[in-house]
Amino acid sequence: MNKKKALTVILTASAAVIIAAAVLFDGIFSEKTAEKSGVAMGSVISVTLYGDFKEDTAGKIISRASEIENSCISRYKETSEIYKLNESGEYTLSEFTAEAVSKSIKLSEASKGAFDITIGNLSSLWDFDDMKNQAPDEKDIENALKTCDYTQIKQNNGAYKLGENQKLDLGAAGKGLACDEAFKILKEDNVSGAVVSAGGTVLVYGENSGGKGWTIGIKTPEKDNDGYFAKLALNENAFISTSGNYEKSFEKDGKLYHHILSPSTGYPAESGLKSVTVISKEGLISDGLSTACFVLGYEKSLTLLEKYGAQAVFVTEDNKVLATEGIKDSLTITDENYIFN
Amino acid sequence: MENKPLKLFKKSDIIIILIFILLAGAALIPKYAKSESLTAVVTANGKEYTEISFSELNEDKYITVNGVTIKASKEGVCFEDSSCRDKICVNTGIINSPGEAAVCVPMNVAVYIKGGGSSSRNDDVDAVVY
Repeated sequence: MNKKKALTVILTASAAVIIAAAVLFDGIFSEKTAEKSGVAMGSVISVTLYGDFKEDTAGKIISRASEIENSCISRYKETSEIYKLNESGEYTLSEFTAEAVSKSIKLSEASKGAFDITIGNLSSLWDFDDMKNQAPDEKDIENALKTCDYTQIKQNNGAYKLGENQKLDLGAAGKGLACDEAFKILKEDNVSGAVVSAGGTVLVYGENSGGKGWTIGIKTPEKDNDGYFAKLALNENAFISTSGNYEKSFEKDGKLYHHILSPSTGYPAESGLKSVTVISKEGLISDGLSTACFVLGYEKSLTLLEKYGAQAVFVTEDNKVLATEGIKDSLTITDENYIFN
Repeated sequence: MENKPLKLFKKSDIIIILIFILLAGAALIPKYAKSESLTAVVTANGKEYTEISFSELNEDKYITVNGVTIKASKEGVCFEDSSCRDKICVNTGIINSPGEAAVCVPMNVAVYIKGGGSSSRNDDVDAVVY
């Protein structure tokens, strides 16, 4: 082989090695991810895992959400503990369900009834899940309101007793509870990073690819728009929940009826807000707080949020955006129709 | 004697190098190229609600809107469940060819297939809270 030919072979081989290395390294540096979705609690549960995780981690999170619904908190399924308690008025709850109920009662107290776990009869009457698109009779609302009072619940060592005709409804905290359970599973399985969305309640956990923080979009508070109006930058584990008047709503005679009911009036809450997004260290709390804050309105929410060490982003009916001090700097408005106040 | 300029590569060598580069590049294509593929468009209340690009679907995806759950998989898209009474939408089954559509009239939700790739509007965030 002459010198020239040898040089050509060496150069060709080098080019091939460099390119092969690029392909290989690409595989090494692009982190392993897994995505899985399923349906539970009448919503889509989606799980995205980054870095280290077990093969069945995502599946376990989705199954656990179904399990919580079917065995613990559903108002409709005969197999659930809350169904049994609602039916008989007295029932001894499992430790897990009792803890969820106890936290919900505490939140009912702290929010002075803006969130009320005994709203069951009122929820059934309006039945936004059934898309009846009709406001109930005034008299029926009045009757349902009489049973909406968390102070009537009695408890002794997990044995719960409800007031007359009272029905519990954990719907406003269920998806958050599913995220709390997801958190436990992610920890047990030593997962590096994950995003879990249970029907719109989001958990960000650990680190995503490259160790950069998480970016969460807050849905534009309009019914026919699935985009987001703002981005939240989060660098640590957090649960994020939004309550908005665009979800499960209908319009009749020019009036908007939405699913966030005020336990004091029996009608959809009117507090000058389109949506509230709460960021907290616990899912059940972020979920319950977003409902309570929507009912309370901006001013009255601030002390409640402080009590739970939670942050929030409010969107008023005239598209003004307000945020608590601890989250202000992490918020970027991306839709010019919304103005940061 | 004529002084020939030093020529490093022959034509055939350059061809071989180019083939190597093309082969290696081809190995990266599936990862980086956004192939033109089919997209399912979901509309609710007469307005576009979301789009799903089939080439980006690794797992089945579910969308719920107006009490209707739509399932998108590699096979196509279908109404998985609906709160409507007669469930005509659910019985439509899977649609997967450009121009095909399935509609739930009572819930005012429709889905149709269009050609050409288009990614979701919410791709630049990790999740959307709603």
